[in-house]
Amino acid sequence: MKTNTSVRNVPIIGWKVAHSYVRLADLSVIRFSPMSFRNTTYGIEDKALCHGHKHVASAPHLHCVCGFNAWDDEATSLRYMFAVQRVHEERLQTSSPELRERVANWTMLRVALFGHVIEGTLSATNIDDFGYRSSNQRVLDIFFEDRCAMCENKTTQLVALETESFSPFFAGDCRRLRPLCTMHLNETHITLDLATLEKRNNVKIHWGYPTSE
Amino acid sequence: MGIGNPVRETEVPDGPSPAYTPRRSVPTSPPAKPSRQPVPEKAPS
Repeated sequence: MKTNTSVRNVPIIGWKVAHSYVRLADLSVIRFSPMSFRNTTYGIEDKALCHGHKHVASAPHLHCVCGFNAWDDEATSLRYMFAVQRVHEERLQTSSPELRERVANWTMLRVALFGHVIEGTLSATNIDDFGYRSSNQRVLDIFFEDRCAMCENKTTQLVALETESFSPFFAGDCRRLRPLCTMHLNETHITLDLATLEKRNNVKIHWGYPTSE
Repeated sequence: MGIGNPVRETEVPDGPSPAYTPRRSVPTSPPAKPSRQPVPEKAPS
């Protein structure tokens, strides 16, 4: 059993993929929107709520998919991200580099899971091999793609920008975080200072997705 | 979750988490080339 309480006295480390954004009211506070259930957002440290079946007092509920879902390791998380990315590309027919910013640049998160934890994630079929659902989550590390959202160049700057989205959630004062190269920066982008973000959110920000081996 | 599998639940305490360390160690020097043994000259028959 992976989550044996008799030997575990620290939070469980999980890996997940999300959209990241800031609000215009405070550009230094990072928030996240999950890959699925995108009307349910969360902050750096948060407690799970079940919006589907209102398991507010007991999320993650045993017979639900609520709670903070996270994979067991970075390799599974990467596979999940690339698989979803391929589905989006095929669905939107946006394989061309010009439209790549619509589907690329998701954020990978390394999170600490604690509180009530259930083994097995939303998409998992085998609880022995896959991740967790937890009641509490704290984001420890944020990984942004090291390629520009618009081309294949190396990322030089993290910006907050208004993007067309699949979901109406990102309308209003939400600005999605995008890594861009120097060539694609323009005056409409709000450039963000990584050191300020790290200090304010108490996280570590990395360029490039983690490798698994 | 698979049908018939026991569901595992537990209470995990909060606390400090270990810092991220990448699993892949970046090599700082190129791998050493295998030393080649000199091919012995064929003895004249």
